[in-house]
Amino acid sequence: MYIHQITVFLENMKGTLSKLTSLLADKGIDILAMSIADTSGFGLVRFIVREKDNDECLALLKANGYAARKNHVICVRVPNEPGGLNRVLCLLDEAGISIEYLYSFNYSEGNNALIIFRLSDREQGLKIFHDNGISVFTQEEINSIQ
Amino acid sequence: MKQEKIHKIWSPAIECMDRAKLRELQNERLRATVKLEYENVPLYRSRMDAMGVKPEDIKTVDDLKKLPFTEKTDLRDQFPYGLLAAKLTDIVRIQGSSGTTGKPIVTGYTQNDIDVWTEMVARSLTAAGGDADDVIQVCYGYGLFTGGLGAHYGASAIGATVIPMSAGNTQRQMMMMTELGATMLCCTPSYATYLGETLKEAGLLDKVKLKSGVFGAEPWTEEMRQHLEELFDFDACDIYGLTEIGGPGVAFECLEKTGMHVNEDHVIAEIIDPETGEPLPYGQKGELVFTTITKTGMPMIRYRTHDICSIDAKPCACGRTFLKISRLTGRTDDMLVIRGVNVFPSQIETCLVGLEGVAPFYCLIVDRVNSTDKLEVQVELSDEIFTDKVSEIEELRGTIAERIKSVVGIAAKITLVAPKSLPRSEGKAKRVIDRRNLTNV
Repeated sequence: MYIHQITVFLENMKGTLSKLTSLLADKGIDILAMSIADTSGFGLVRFIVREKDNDECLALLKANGYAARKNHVICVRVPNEPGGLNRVLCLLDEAGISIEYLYSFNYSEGNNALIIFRLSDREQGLKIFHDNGISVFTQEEINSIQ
Repeated sequence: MKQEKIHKIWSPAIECMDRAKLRELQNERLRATVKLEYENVPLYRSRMDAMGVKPEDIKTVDDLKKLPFTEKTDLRDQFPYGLLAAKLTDIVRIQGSSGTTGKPIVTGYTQNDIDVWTEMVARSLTAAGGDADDVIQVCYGYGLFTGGLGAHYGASAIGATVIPMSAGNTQRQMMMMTELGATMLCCTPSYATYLGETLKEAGLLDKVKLKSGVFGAEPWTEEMRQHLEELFDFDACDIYGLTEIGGPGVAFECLEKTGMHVNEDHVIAEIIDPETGEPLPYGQKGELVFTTITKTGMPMIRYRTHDICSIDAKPCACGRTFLKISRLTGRTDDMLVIRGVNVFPSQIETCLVGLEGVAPFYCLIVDRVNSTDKLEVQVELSDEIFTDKVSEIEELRGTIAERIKSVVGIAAKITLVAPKSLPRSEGKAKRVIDRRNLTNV
């Protein structure tokens, strides 16, 4: 039920992001979702690629001097309408689960937006989503995005 | 306001002593020191035994070369009391500085040693024009660091009015300096510059009555002297010292400002080839080595300072017969002096050991911004980054900063950089980039 995300450390300097995206583009790796968290000194770039690209992407990054890692996040379908995201957030809040960060896919599925969550308690979060009929987007579904 | 160039001398009978007589005095004191060390300090005894040297073999200063060297690492390894030649009951003071790694180094002073030190600083302040009529503002840090207490005792000895400000709080320093009419200033040359520039900006320079300043604890250049003297319209004199030998005042400049007179009745200076350890003739540049000949708490025999300079034996116009050492032009090791604090890159390494997520590669970047030294430490992350959360990376930065602050004693800006991004030569990271340009004398 989890999907893979890759996180890369970037120094906060001009040109570092495009250098990273060029590296991926040259290898034909498609970035399906991306977010950047930045501070004055550095940034963390987090992104989602298809499963077939994950290991190659990680090896490529390390070989090119990037500090990178692969980890698990949760992706949910949120109806693309007013209050859609709010409902999901309220459920997490009621359950006492914190959101470390969230971002959305560049791609939307019909009338659904796809939101990626990093939660303080991943398993509990999944349970809440399941119990409340919130649909979770799987790695297989990501792999088949055209 | 600049003073008239009158050479005042605190102890003329000693400072202007006939050199042949001075040599006799040194010989006699050296013999006593070697005997004291051999009989009381196991490390010296075993080293001398290993070299087959007995105290009786040391008769004159010329025999110094038969004796083993002492290194800063010896003070660290024998920490805290291993090198004491006196009993702890006779030790009245501990002073210290940071060592080459996490462990500090300390020295113990007997009352005699405090008196010797005070005498040396009294001579230094007098040489810069000081006397009982002066109001001396001391803004070296008071504490384990020898700067504050050293200057304080010396200033008291000459009967001056001491303002014991200690370091920091520039607004308060400026207020006291102008309101109390300080006539002399003791601090690091970089802090003096900062103070001067801040006073200038505040339009307070015309209220300053300084006639001279005695600046040390870090290397500085002739350009900095000129800048300082233009700012304050006073005499800026250099002073040299190190905790291991006795603190500031080991050597000092007179108003001729042509090098620092070594207090030769208390220490013997040698210049050696840092590679071979062979003594070098006067005038030649090499590593400065000191032997104390009056200390009784923790005497030092042939202590290697790792500072590079030369000895000038030409007579000085001030009338003193003491030899002079030139400005320091560099170091034989990788020690840095940042805001008056000794910093070794190896100390930084100790701070990084055992931290998840960082590689053992780092680079110290030292710069001088607005006359204040800034230390930045760049640390490489390991290629498997340990988190996807910004807060945890910030936490890591905070931990590194805290560790450096506690081990080295100064605040540093921590910058995390990508793996393998720091410049390397022969596979090793270049550890230090010093942008201050302090050694081009």
